Amino acid sequence: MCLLTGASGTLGTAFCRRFASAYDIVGVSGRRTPVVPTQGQRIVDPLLPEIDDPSHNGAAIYAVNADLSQPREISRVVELALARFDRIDVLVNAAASSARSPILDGPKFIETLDAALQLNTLAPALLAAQVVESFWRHYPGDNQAFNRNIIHISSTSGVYVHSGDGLAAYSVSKAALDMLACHMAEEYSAIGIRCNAVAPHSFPRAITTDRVLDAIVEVDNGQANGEIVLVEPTPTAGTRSRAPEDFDSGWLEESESSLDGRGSPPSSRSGRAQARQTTRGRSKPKAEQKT
Amino acid sequence: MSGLSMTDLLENRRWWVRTDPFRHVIARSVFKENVYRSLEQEYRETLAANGKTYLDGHDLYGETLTADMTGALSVFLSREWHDLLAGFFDVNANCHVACGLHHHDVGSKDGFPHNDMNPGWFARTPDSVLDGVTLPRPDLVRYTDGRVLKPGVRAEETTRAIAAIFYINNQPWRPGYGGSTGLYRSVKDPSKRPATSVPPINNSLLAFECTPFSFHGFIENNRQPRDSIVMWLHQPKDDVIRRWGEHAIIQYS
Repeated sequence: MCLLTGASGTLGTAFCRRFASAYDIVGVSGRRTPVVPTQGQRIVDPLLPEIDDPSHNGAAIYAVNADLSQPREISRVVELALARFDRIDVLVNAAASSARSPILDGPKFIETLDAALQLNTLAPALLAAQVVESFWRHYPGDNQAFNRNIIHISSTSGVYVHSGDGLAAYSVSKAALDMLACHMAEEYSAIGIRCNAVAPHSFPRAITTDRVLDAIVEVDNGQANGEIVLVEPTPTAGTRSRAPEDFDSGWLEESESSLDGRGSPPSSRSGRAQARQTTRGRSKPKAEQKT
Repeated sequence: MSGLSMTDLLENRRWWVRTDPFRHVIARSVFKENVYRSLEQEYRETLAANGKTYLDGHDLYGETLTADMTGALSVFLSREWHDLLAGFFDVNANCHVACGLHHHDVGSKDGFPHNDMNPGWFARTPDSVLDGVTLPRPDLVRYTDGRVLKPGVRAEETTRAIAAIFYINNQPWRPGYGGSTGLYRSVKDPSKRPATSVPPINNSLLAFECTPFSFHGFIENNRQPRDSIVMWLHQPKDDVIRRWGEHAIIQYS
Protein backbone atom coordinates (compact mmCIF):
# COMPACT_ATOMS: atom_id res chain seq x y z
CA MET A 1 0.00 0.00 0.00
CA CYS A 2 1.35 3.42 -0.98
CA LEU A 3 0.55 6.70 0.73
CA LEU A 4 1.31 9.32 -1.90
CA THR A 5 1.23 13.09 -1.47
CA GLY A 6 1.09 15.48 -4.39
CA ALA A 7 -1.23 13.02 -6.09
CA SER A 8 -2.76 15.62 -8.43
CA GLY A 9 0.56 16.92 -9.69
CA THR A 10 2.33 15.77 -12.82
CA LEU A 11 4.36 13.11 -11.03
CA GLY A 12 1.57 12.07 -8.69
CA THR A 13 -0.96 11.64 -11.46
CA ALA A 14 1.51 9.69 -13.57
CA PHE A 15 2.29 7.48 -10.57
CA CYS A 16 -1.39 6.76 -10.01
CA ARG A 17 -2.05 6.01 -13.67
CA ARG A 18 0.90 3.66 -13.96
CA PHE A 19 0.79 1.91 -10.61
CA ALA A 20 -2.84 1.90 -9.41
CA SER A 21 -3.10 -1.77 -10.30
CA ALA A 22 0.21 -2.63 -8.59
CA TYR A 23 -0.30 -0.70 -5.35
CA ASP A 24 -3.29 0.17 -3.22
CA ILE A 25 -2.86 3.94 -3.33
CA VAL A 26 -4.08 6.64 -0.99
CA GLY A 27 -3.47 9.78 -3.03
CA VAL A 28 -3.33 13.05 -1.09
CA SER A 29 -3.75 16.37 -2.84
CA GLY A 30 -4.68 19.92 -1.98
CA ARG A 31 -7.82 21.27 -3.61
CA ARG A 32 -7.58 19.35 -6.86
CA THR A 33 -8.22 15.67 -7.42
CA PRO A 34 -5.94 13.57 -9.60
CA VAL A 35 -7.35 12.73 -13.01
CA VAL A 36 -7.65 9.02 -12.31
CA PRO A 37 -10.55 6.91 -11.09
CA THR A 38 -11.13 7.36 -7.37
CA GLN A 39 -13.91 6.64 -4.90
CA GLY A 40 -15.48 9.95 -6.04
CA GLN A 41 -15.00 9.85 -9.79
CA ARG A 42 -15.11 7.25 -12.49
CA ILE A 43 -14.96 6.99 -16.23
CA VAL A 44 -18.16 6.29 -18.10
CA ASP A 45 -18.94 5.73 -21.76
CA PRO A 46 -21.66 8.30 -22.54
CA LEU A 47 -23.30 5.85 -24.93
CA LEU A 48 -23.31 3.08 -22.28
CA PRO A 49 -23.57 4.99 -18.99
CA GLU A 50 -25.05 2.10 -17.06
CA ILE A 51 -21.96 -0.05 -17.55
CA ASP A 52 -19.09 0.20 -15.07
CA ASP A 53 -16.16 -0.94 -17.15
CA PRO A 54 -13.38 -2.43 -14.99
CA SER A 55 -10.84 -1.65 -17.68
CA HIS A 56 -11.59 2.01 -16.99
CA ASN A 57 -12.26 2.01 -13.27
CA GLY A 58 -10.82 -1.23 -11.92
CA ALA A 59 -7.63 0.35 -10.61
CA ALA A 60 -9.04 3.25 -8.62
CA ILE A 61 -7.12 5.09 -5.95
CA TYR A 62 -8.48 6.38 -2.68
CA ALA A 63 -8.28 10.17 -2.92
CA VAL A 64 -7.95 12.44 0.09
CA ASN A 65 -7.91 16.22 0.02
CA ALA A 66 -5.79 17.72 2.76
CA ASP A 67 -3.82 20.83 3.58
CA LEU A 68 -0.47 19.38 4.58
CA SER A 69 0.60 22.63 6.21
CA GLN A 70 -1.83 21.80 9.03
CA PRO A 71 -0.68 19.14 11.55
CA ARG A 72 -4.26 18.08 12.20
CA GLU A 73 -4.68 17.35 8.51
CA ILE A 74 -1.58 15.18 8.53
CA SER A 75 -3.02 13.13 11.38
CA ARG A 76 -6.28 12.81 9.48
CA VAL A 77 -4.51 11.62 6.33
CA VAL A 78 -2.69 8.84 8.17
CA GLU A 79 -5.83 7.88 10.05
CA LEU A 80 -7.81 7.63 6.83
CA ALA A 81 -5.09 5.62 5.08
CA LEU A 82 -4.92 3.09 7.90
CA ALA A 83 -8.69 2.92 8.22
CA ARG A 84 -9.00 2.24 4.51
CA PHE A 85 -6.21 -0.31 4.04
CA ASP A 86 -5.01 -1.37 7.52
CA ARG A 87 -1.40 -0.76 6.51
CA ILE A 88 1.10 1.60 4.90
CA ASP A 89 4.04 0.05 3.10
CA VAL A 90 5.59 2.99 1.31
CA LEU A 91 5.26 6.72 1.89
CA VAL A 92 6.02 8.81 -1.20
CA ASN A 93 6.28 12.52 -0.44
CA ALA A 94 5.73 14.15 -3.82
CA ALA A 95 3.80 17.27 -2.75
CA ALA A 96 5.86 20.39 -3.21
CA SER A 97 5.80 24.13 -3.57
CA SER A 98 7.99 25.58 -6.30
CA ALA A 99 7.26 29.29 -5.94
CA ARG A 100 10.14 31.47 -7.08
CA SER A 101 11.50 34.62 -5.58
CA PRO A 102 14.83 36.38 -5.95
CA ILE A 103 16.68 36.69 -2.66
CA LEU A 104 17.16 40.42 -3.31
CA ASP A 105 13.42 40.86 -2.73
CA GLY A 106 13.91 40.19 0.96
CA PRO A 107 10.39 40.18 2.39
CA LYS A 108 8.94 38.21 -0.50
CA PHE A 109 11.82 35.77 -0.42
CA ILE A 110 11.28 35.10 3.29
CA GLU A 111 7.62 34.44 2.62
CA THR A 112 8.49 32.10 -0.22
CA LEU A 113 11.10 30.34 1.88
CA ASP A 114 8.65 29.83 4.69
CA ALA A 115 6.08 28.28 2.37
CA ALA A 116 8.68 26.08 0.70
CA LEU A 117 10.06 24.77 3.97
CA GLN A 118 6.55 24.18 5.25
CA LEU A 119 5.41 21.96 2.38
CA ASN A 120 8.68 20.60 1.03
CA THR A 121 10.47 19.76 4.26
CA LEU A 122 8.29 20.02 7.33
CA ALA A 123 5.23 18.24 5.90
CA PRO A 124 7.25 15.17 4.80
CA ALA A 125 8.86 15.09 8.23
CA LEU A 126 5.54 15.32 10.03
CA LEU A 127 3.91 12.78 7.78
CA ALA A 128 6.69 10.27 8.27
CA ALA A 129 6.62 10.86 12.00
CA GLN A 130 2.87 10.32 12.07
CA VAL A 131 3.09 7.06 10.12
CA VAL A 132 5.81 5.87 12.46
CA GLU A 133 3.80 6.81 15.51
CA SER A 134 0.49 5.41 14.28
CA PHE A 135 1.73 2.23 12.66
CA TRP A 136 5.33 1.43 11.85
CA ARG A 137 6.94 1.60 15.27
CA HIS A 138 4.63 -1.16 16.49
CA TYR A 139 5.65 -3.66 13.82
CA PRO A 140 9.43 -3.64 13.26
CA GLY A 141 9.44 -7.26 12.12
CA ASP A 142 6.72 -6.65 9.54
CA ASN A 143 8.45 -3.48 8.40
CA GLN A 144 11.51 -5.46 7.42
CA ALA A 145 9.55 -8.35 6.00
CA PHE A 146 7.54 -6.04 3.74
CA ASN A 147 10.52 -3.80 2.95
CA ARG A 148 8.65 -0.71 4.11
CA ASN A 149 10.21 2.59 3.29
CA ILE A 150 9.92 6.33 2.76
CA ILE A 151 10.73 8.02 -0.54
CA HIS A 152 11.09 11.79 -0.49
CA ILE A 153 10.80 13.34 -3.92
CA SER A 154 13.55 15.91 -3.90
CA SER A 155 15.24 17.68 -6.82
CA THR A 156 18.61 18.30 -8.37
CA SER A 157 17.96 21.84 -7.19
CA GLY A 158 18.84 20.56 -3.74
CA VAL A 159 22.26 19.56 -5.00
CA TYR A 160 23.13 22.16 -7.63
CA VAL A 161 22.62 25.88 -7.92
CA HIS A 162 20.62 26.52 -11.08
CA SER A 163 21.45 30.16 -11.44
CA GLY A 164 18.98 32.82 -12.42
CA ASP A 165 15.85 30.79 -11.73
CA GLY A 166 14.80 32.43 -8.47
CA LEU A 167 14.68 28.97 -6.93
CA ALA A 168 16.71 29.62 -3.79
CA ALA A 169 13.82 28.89 -1.45
CA TYR A 170 12.91 25.72 -3.29
CA SER A 171 16.54 24.67 -3.44
CA VAL A 172 17.06 25.18 0.29
CA SER A 173 13.95 23.20 1.13
CA LYS A 174 15.02 20.30 -1.08
CA ALA A 175 18.55 20.29 0.32
CA ALA A 176 17.01 20.08 3.76
CA LEU A 177 14.78 17.26 2.58
CA ASP A 178 17.83 15.37 1.35
CA MET A 179 19.47 15.61 4.75
CA LEU A 180 16.22 14.63 6.40
CA ALA A 181 16.22 11.50 4.24
CA CYS A 182 19.72 10.61 5.37
CA HIS A 183 18.96 11.10 9.05
CA MET A 184 15.67 9.25 8.81
CA ALA A 185 17.52 6.39 7.14
CA GLU A 186 19.90 6.17 10.07
CA GLU A 187 17.34 6.41 12.85
CA TYR A 188 14.36 4.62 11.35
CA SER A 189 16.52 1.61 10.52
CA ALA A 190 16.02 0.66 14.17
CA ILE A 191 12.38 -0.12 13.37
CA GLY A 192 13.08 -1.65 9.98
CA ILE A 193 12.16 1.38 7.88
CA ARG A 194 14.36 2.54 5.01
CA CYS A 195 14.43 6.11 3.76
CA ASN A 196 15.80 7.60 0.53
CA ALA A 197 15.30 10.61 -1.70
CA VAL A 198 14.75 10.59 -5.45
CA ALA A 199 16.09 13.85 -6.85
CA PRO A 200 15.08 14.37 -10.46
CA HIS A 201 16.03 17.10 -12.86
CA SER A 202 13.22 19.07 -14.46
CA PHE A 203 10.49 16.76 -15.72
CA PRO A 204 8.94 16.34 -18.17
CA ARG A 205 11.07 19.06 -19.76
CA ALA A 206 14.59 17.67 -19.32
CA ILE A 207 13.80 14.06 -18.45
CA THR A 208 10.67 11.97 -18.84
CA THR A 209 8.27 11.52 -15.96
CA ASP A 210 8.55 7.80 -16.56
CA ARG A 211 12.23 7.86 -15.63
CA VAL A 212 11.32 9.42 -12.31
CA LEU A 213 8.69 6.74 -11.77
CA ASP A 214 11.24 4.07 -12.63
CA ALA A 215 13.57 5.48 -9.98
CA ILE A 216 10.82 5.51 -7.36
CA VAL A 217 9.91 1.90 -7.97
CA GLU A 218 13.53 0.81 -8.02
CA VAL A 219 14.08 2.44 -4.64
CA ASP A 220 10.90 0.93 -3.25
CA ASN A 221 11.74 -2.57 -4.40
CA GLY A 222 15.45 -2.36 -3.58
CA GLN A 223 17.47 -2.23 -0.40
CA ALA A 224 18.98 1.25 -0.65
CA ASN A 225 18.93 3.28 2.54
CA GLY A 226 20.07 6.87 3.02
CA GLU A 227 20.68 7.48 -0.67
CA ILE A 228 19.94 10.54 -2.76
CA VAL A 229 19.14 9.09 -6.17
CA LEU A 230 19.71 11.70 -8.86
CA VAL A 231 17.72 11.27 -12.05
CA GLU A 232 19.37 13.42 -14.69
CA PRO A 233 19.30 13.73 -18.44
CA THR A 234 21.62 11.36 -20.23
CA PRO A 235 24.39 13.23 -22.11
CA THR A 236 22.96 12.41 -25.53
CA ALA A 237 19.29 12.89 -24.65
CA GLY A 238 19.27 16.69 -24.88
CA THR A 239 16.25 18.67 -23.80
CA ARG A 240 12.95 17.05 -24.51
CA SER A 241 10.14 19.27 -25.65
CA ARG A 242 6.94 19.04 -23.68
CA ALA A 243 4.29 16.87 -25.26
CA PRO A 244 0.62 17.91 -25.07
CA GLU A 245 -0.21 15.01 -22.77
CA ASP A 246 2.31 16.36 -20.25
CA PHE A 247 -0.18 19.14 -19.44
CA ASP A 248 -2.96 16.72 -18.76
CA SER A 249 -2.50 16.19 -15.06
CA GLY A 250 -5.16 18.55 -13.83
CA TRP A 251 -7.25 19.91 -16.67
CA LEU A 252 -10.54 18.96 -15.06
CA GLU A 253 -10.30 21.72 -12.48
CA GLU A 254 -8.95 25.21 -12.33
CA SER A 255 -6.25 25.75 -9.78
CA GLU A 256 -2.58 26.54 -9.53
CA SER A 257 -0.34 24.03 -11.29
CA SER A 258 1.61 21.90 -8.85
CA LEU A 259 5.28 21.19 -9.07
CA ASP A 260 6.41 19.39 -12.15
CA GLY A 261 10.11 19.84 -11.75
CA ARG A 262 12.43 22.70 -12.49
CA GLY A 263 15.99 23.11 -13.56
CA SER A 264 18.45 24.10 -16.22
CA PRO A 265 19.19 22.20 -19.36
CA PRO A 266 21.47 19.14 -18.98
CA SER A 267 24.63 19.74 -16.92
CA SER A 268 27.92 17.89 -16.86
CA ARG A 269 28.34 18.35 -13.10
CA SER A 270 27.99 15.28 -10.94
CA GLY A 271 26.08 15.14 -7.72
CA ARG A 272 26.84 13.62 -4.36
CA ALA A 273 25.36 10.35 -5.50
CA GLN A 274 25.86 8.47 -8.69
CA ALA A 275 23.33 9.30 -11.37
CA ARG A 276 21.46 6.16 -12.35
CA GLN A 277 19.71 4.98 -15.42
CA THR A 278 16.87 3.12 -13.81
CA THR A 279 14.44 0.63 -15.18
CA ARG A 280 11.06 -0.20 -13.72
CA GLY A 281 11.49 -2.46 -10.72
CA ARG A 282 9.38 -5.44 -9.84
CA SER A 283 6.09 -4.18 -8.53
CA LYS A 284 4.89 -5.28 -5.13
CA PRO A 285 1.88 -7.48 -5.96
CA LYS A 286 -1.14 -6.63 -3.88
CA ALA A 287 -1.64 -10.26 -2.97
CA GLU A 288 1.67 -10.34 -1.10
CA GLN A 289 0.69 -7.44 1.09
CA LYS A 290 -1.88 -9.14 3.21
CA THR A 291 -0.64 -10.79 6.37
CA MET B 1 -25.28 16.67 -38.74
CA SER B 2 -28.50 15.12 -39.94
CA GLY B 3 -28.29 11.41 -40.50
CA LEU B 4 -25.31 11.06 -38.17
CA SER B 5 -25.51 9.25 -34.87
CA MET B 6 -23.67 10.09 -31.67
CA THR B 7 -21.25 7.30 -32.49
CA ASP B 8 -20.27 9.26 -35.58
CA LEU B 9 -20.08 12.60 -33.83
CA LEU B 10 -18.35 11.88 -30.54
CA GLU B 11 -14.58 11.96 -30.30
CA ASN B 12 -14.09 10.96 -26.68
CA ARG B 13 -16.11 8.26 -24.98
CA ARG B 14 -14.36 8.48 -21.62
CA TRP B 15 -16.47 10.94 -19.68
CA TRP B 16 -15.96 11.53 -15.99
CA VAL B 17 -18.75 11.13 -13.46
CA ARG B 18 -17.79 12.87 -10.22
CA THR B 19 -19.57 13.22 -6.90
CA ASP B 20 -17.98 16.17 -5.19
CA PRO B 21 -19.57 18.59 -4.32
CA PHE B 22 -22.58 17.02 -6.09
CA ARG B 23 -22.90 14.48 -8.84
CA HIS B 24 -21.83 15.90 -12.21
CA VAL B 25 -20.36 14.82 -15.50
CA ILE B 26 -17.43 16.41 -17.27
CA ALA B 27 -15.89 15.53 -20.59
CA ARG B 28 -13.21 16.89 -22.86
CA SER B 29 -12.90 16.62 -26.66
CA VAL B 30 -16.58 15.79 -26.83
CA PHE B 31 -17.01 16.07 -30.59
CA LYS B 32 -14.72 15.13 -33.45
CA GLU B 33 -12.61 18.02 -34.65
CA ASN B 34 -14.52 18.62 -37.89
CA VAL B 35 -17.83 18.48 -36.02
CA TYR B 36 -16.60 20.93 -33.42
CA ARG B 37 -15.43 23.35 -36.12
CA SER B 38 -18.88 23.27 -37.69
CA LEU B 39 -20.49 23.96 -34.34
CA GLU B 40 -18.15 26.82 -33.64
CA GLN B 41 -18.67 28.42 -37.01
CA GLU B 42 -22.42 28.26 -36.68
CA TYR B 43 -22.21 29.58 -33.13
CA ARG B 44 -20.40 32.67 -34.37
CA GLU B 45 -22.71 33.14 -37.32
CA THR B 46 -25.83 32.77 -35.20
CA LEU B 47 -24.70 35.28 -32.61
CA ALA B 48 -23.62 37.71 -35.28
CA ALA B 49 -26.80 37.39 -37.33
CA ASN B 50 -29.46 37.36 -34.66
CA GLY B 51 -28.12 39.77 -32.12
CA LYS B 52 -28.07 38.99 -28.45
CA THR B 53 -30.34 39.71 -25.57
CA TYR B 54 -28.64 41.03 -22.47
CA LEU B 55 -29.58 39.19 -19.30
CA ASP B 56 -28.87 41.66 -16.53
CA GLY B 57 -29.15 39.23 -13.64
CA HIS B 58 -26.41 37.08 -15.07
CA ASP B 59 -24.37 39.77 -16.87
CA LEU B 60 -24.38 37.83 -20.11
CA TYR B 61 -25.76 37.97 -23.62
CA GLY B 62 -27.95 35.11 -24.76
CA GLU B 63 -29.68 33.76 -27.84
CA THR B 64 -32.29 31.02 -27.60
CA LEU B 65 -32.24 28.16 -30.07
CA THR B 66 -35.65 27.26 -31.44
CA ALA B 67 -37.19 24.62 -33.68
CA ASP B 68 -36.20 26.47 -36.84
CA MET B 69 -32.54 25.71 -36.11
CA THR B 70 -31.51 23.15 -38.72
CA GLY B 71 -27.76 23.60 -38.93
CA ALA B 72 -24.90 22.04 -36.96
CA LEU B 73 -26.15 23.39 -33.64
CA SER B 74 -29.30 21.33 -33.98
CA VAL B 75 -27.31 18.44 -32.53
CA PHE B 76 -27.98 20.00 -29.12
CA LEU B 77 -31.68 19.98 -29.84
CA SER B 78 -31.78 16.36 -30.98
CA ARG B 79 -33.51 13.46 -29.26
CA GLU B 80 -30.29 11.50 -29.28
CA TRP B 81 -28.38 14.21 -27.44
CA HIS B 82 -31.26 14.57 -24.99
CA ASP B 83 -31.23 10.86 -24.25
CA LEU B 84 -27.44 10.80 -23.91
CA LEU B 85 -27.51 13.45 -21.19
CA ALA B 86 -30.57 11.96 -19.50
CA GLY B 87 -28.84 8.57 -19.33
CA PHE B 88 -26.41 9.85 -16.73
CA PHE B 89 -29.03 10.84 -14.19
CA ASP B 90 -31.98 9.19 -12.58
CA VAL B 91 -34.64 11.65 -13.72
CA ASN B 92 -37.75 11.33 -15.80
CA ALA B 93 -36.64 13.68 -18.54
CA ASN B 94 -39.66 14.51 -20.72
CA CYS B 95 -38.01 15.60 -23.97
CA HIS B 96 -38.47 19.32 -23.33
CA VAL B 97 -35.23 21.17 -23.98
CA ALA B 98 -34.26 24.82 -23.62
CA CYS B 99 -30.97 25.70 -25.23
CA GLY B 100 -29.18 28.99 -25.70
CA LEU B 101 -25.93 30.54 -26.78
CA HIS B 102 -24.30 32.45 -23.94
CA HIS B 103 -21.63 35.11 -24.28
CA HIS B 104 -19.83 36.82 -21.41
CA ASP B 105 -17.86 39.91 -22.30
CA VAL B 106 -14.47 40.32 -20.65
CA GLY B 107 -14.94 41.42 -17.06
CA SER B 108 -18.41 39.96 -16.70
CA LYS B 109 -19.31 39.89 -13.06
CA ASP B 110 -19.22 36.83 -10.84
CA GLY B 111 -22.46 34.96 -10.87
CA PHE B 112 -23.97 33.71 -7.65
CA PRO B 113 -24.36 30.11 -6.49
CA HIS B 114 -27.73 28.88 -7.69
CA ASN B 115 -29.21 25.44 -8.33
CA ASP B 116 -31.27 25.91 -11.54
CA MET B 117 -34.36 24.33 -9.96
CA ASN B 118 -36.56 26.66 -11.95
CA PRO B 119 -39.70 26.24 -13.96
CA GLY B 120 -39.58 26.08 -17.72
CA TRP B 121 -42.66 26.92 -19.73
CA PHE B 122 -43.33 25.67 -23.23
CA ALA B 123 -46.05 26.18 -25.81
CA ARG B 124 -48.30 23.27 -26.63
CA THR B 125 -48.08 23.60 -30.39
CA PRO B 126 -47.01 21.03 -33.02
CA ASP B 127 -44.36 23.31 -34.49
CA SER B 128 -42.59 23.54 -31.14
CA VAL B 129 -41.40 19.98 -31.66
CA LEU B 130 -38.21 19.03 -33.51
CA ASP B 131 -37.04 15.42 -33.71
CA GLY B 132 -39.41 14.49 -30.88
CA VAL B 133 -38.03 17.23 -28.64
CA THR B 134 -40.19 20.16 -27.52
CA LEU B 135 -38.37 23.46 -27.69
CA PRO B 136 -39.28 26.90 -26.38
CA ARG B 137 -41.41 29.27 -28.39
CA PRO B 138 -40.42 32.63 -26.97
CA ASP B 139 -42.81 34.25 -29.47
CA LEU B 140 -45.76 32.37 -27.96
CA VAL B 141 -45.00 31.62 -24.31
CA ARG B 142 -42.54 33.25 -22.00
CA TYR B 143 -40.20 30.52 -20.77
CA THR B 144 -39.67 31.93 -17.30
CA ASP B 145 -43.25 32.46 -16.14
CA GLY B 146 -45.56 30.93 -18.74
CA ARG B 147 -47.09 34.20 -19.84
CA VAL B 148 -49.00 33.54 -23.06
CA LEU B 149 -48.09 36.03 -25.76
CA LYS B 150 -50.61 34.97 -28.39
CA PRO B 151 -54.29 34.24 -27.80
CA GLY B 152 -55.32 30.64 -28.01
CA VAL B 153 -51.93 29.20 -27.14
CA ARG B 154 -51.75 26.82 -24.23
CA ALA B 155 -48.72 26.92 -21.96
CA GLU B 156 -47.19 23.87 -20.36
CA GLU B 157 -45.19 24.06 -17.13
CA THR B 158 -42.22 21.81 -16.51
CA THR B 159 -39.24 22.02 -14.18
CA ARG B 160 -35.60 21.96 -15.09
CA ALA B 161 -34.08 18.51 -14.58
CA ILE B 162 -30.57 18.52 -16.03
CA ALA B 163 -28.28 21.43 -16.88
CA ALA B 164 -25.42 21.19 -19.34
CA ILE B 165 -22.78 23.69 -20.43
CA PHE B 166 -20.77 23.11 -23.59
CA TYR B 167 -17.78 25.43 -23.94
CA ILE B 168 -17.23 26.76 -27.42
CA ASN B 169 -15.56 29.61 -29.33
CA ASN B 170 -13.13 30.52 -26.57
CA GLN B 171 -9.50 31.59 -26.74
CA PRO B 172 -6.95 29.18 -25.20
CA TRP B 173 -7.47 29.22 -21.47
CA ARG B 174 -4.94 29.28 -18.65
CA PRO B 175 -5.42 29.18 -14.87
CA GLY B 176 -6.12 32.64 -13.58
CA TYR B 177 -8.15 33.77 -16.62
CA GLY B 178 -11.46 33.11 -14.91
CA GLY B 179 -14.59 32.31 -16.87
CA SER B 180 -14.90 28.91 -15.23
CA THR B 181 -18.06 27.42 -13.83
CA GLY B 182 -17.82 27.02 -10.09
CA LEU B 183 -19.52 24.17 -8.26
CA TYR B 184 -20.35 24.91 -4.62
CA ARG B 185 -21.24 23.04 -1.45
CA SER B 186 -23.55 25.78 -0.23
CA VAL B 187 -25.54 28.69 -1.61
CA LYS B 188 -23.58 30.86 0.81
CA ASP B 189 -20.16 29.98 -0.59
CA PRO B 190 -18.30 32.95 -2.05
CA SER B 191 -18.30 32.94 -5.84
CA LYS B 192 -14.55 32.74 -6.05
CA ARG B 193 -14.27 29.91 -3.52
CA PRO B 194 -15.98 26.98 -5.21
CA ALA B 195 -15.47 23.40 -4.08
CA THR B 196 -14.28 22.82 -7.61
CA SER B 197 -14.51 24.61 -10.91
CA VAL B 198 -14.62 23.58 -14.53
CA PRO B 199 -12.56 25.70 -16.94
CA PRO B 200 -13.99 26.94 -20.26
CA ILE B 201 -11.92 24.75 -22.53
CA ASN B 202 -13.39 24.45 -25.99
CA ASN B 203 -15.21 21.26 -26.88
CA SER B 204 -15.64 20.29 -23.24
CA LEU B 205 -18.83 19.73 -21.33
CA LEU B 206 -20.22 19.99 -17.82
CA ALA B 207 -23.60 18.45 -16.96
CA PHE B 208 -25.47 17.87 -13.71
CA GLU B 209 -28.90 17.15 -12.33
CA CYS B 210 -30.78 20.17 -11.04
CA THR B 211 -31.42 19.47 -7.36
CA PRO B 212 -31.79 21.64 -4.26
CA PHE B 213 -28.00 21.38 -3.81
CA SER B 214 -26.65 21.66 -7.37
CA PHE B 215 -25.10 25.05 -6.61
CA HIS B 216 -23.07 26.45 -9.46
CA GLY B 217 -22.17 29.81 -10.90
CA PHE B 218 -20.09 31.78 -13.36
CA ILE B 219 -16.72 33.01 -12.15
CA GLU B 220 -15.64 36.40 -13.42
CA ASN B 221 -13.58 36.33 -16.60
CA ASN B 222 -10.82 38.87 -16.37
CA ARG B 223 -8.81 38.18 -19.52
CA GLN B 224 -11.03 37.15 -22.39
CA PRO B 225 -14.68 36.63 -23.33
CA ARG B 226 -16.35 33.36 -22.35
CA ASP B 227 -18.70 31.61 -24.72
CA SER B 228 -20.81 28.52 -24.20
CA ILE B 229 -23.96 26.71 -25.17
CA VAL B 230 -26.18 26.15 -22.17
CA MET B 231 -29.09 23.76 -22.19
CA TRP B 232 -31.61 22.34 -19.81
CA LEU B 233 -33.59 19.13 -19.98
CA HIS B 234 -36.89 19.19 -18.14
CA GLN B 235 -39.13 16.91 -16.15
CA PRO B 236 -42.80 16.97 -15.06
CA LYS B 237 -43.39 19.43 -12.27
CA ASP B 238 -45.24 16.75 -10.29
CA ASP B 239 -42.11 14.61 -10.19
CA VAL B 240 -40.22 17.46 -8.54
CA ILE B 241 -43.00 18.13 -6.04
CA ARG B 242 -43.15 14.46 -5.08
CA ARG B 243 -39.40 14.21 -4.60
CA TRP B 244 -38.38 17.60 -3.22
CA GLY B 245 -41.55 19.50 -2.42
CA GLU B 246 -43.04 22.46 -4.22
CA HIS B 247 -40.96 24.86 -2.17
CA ALA B 248 -37.88 23.51 -3.95
CA ILE B 249 -38.94 25.07 -7.25
CA ILE B 250 -37.51 28.56 -7.41
CA GLN B 251 -39.44 31.13 -9.38
CA TYR B 252 -37.45 33.63 -11.38
CA SER B 253 -37.13 36.98 -9.71
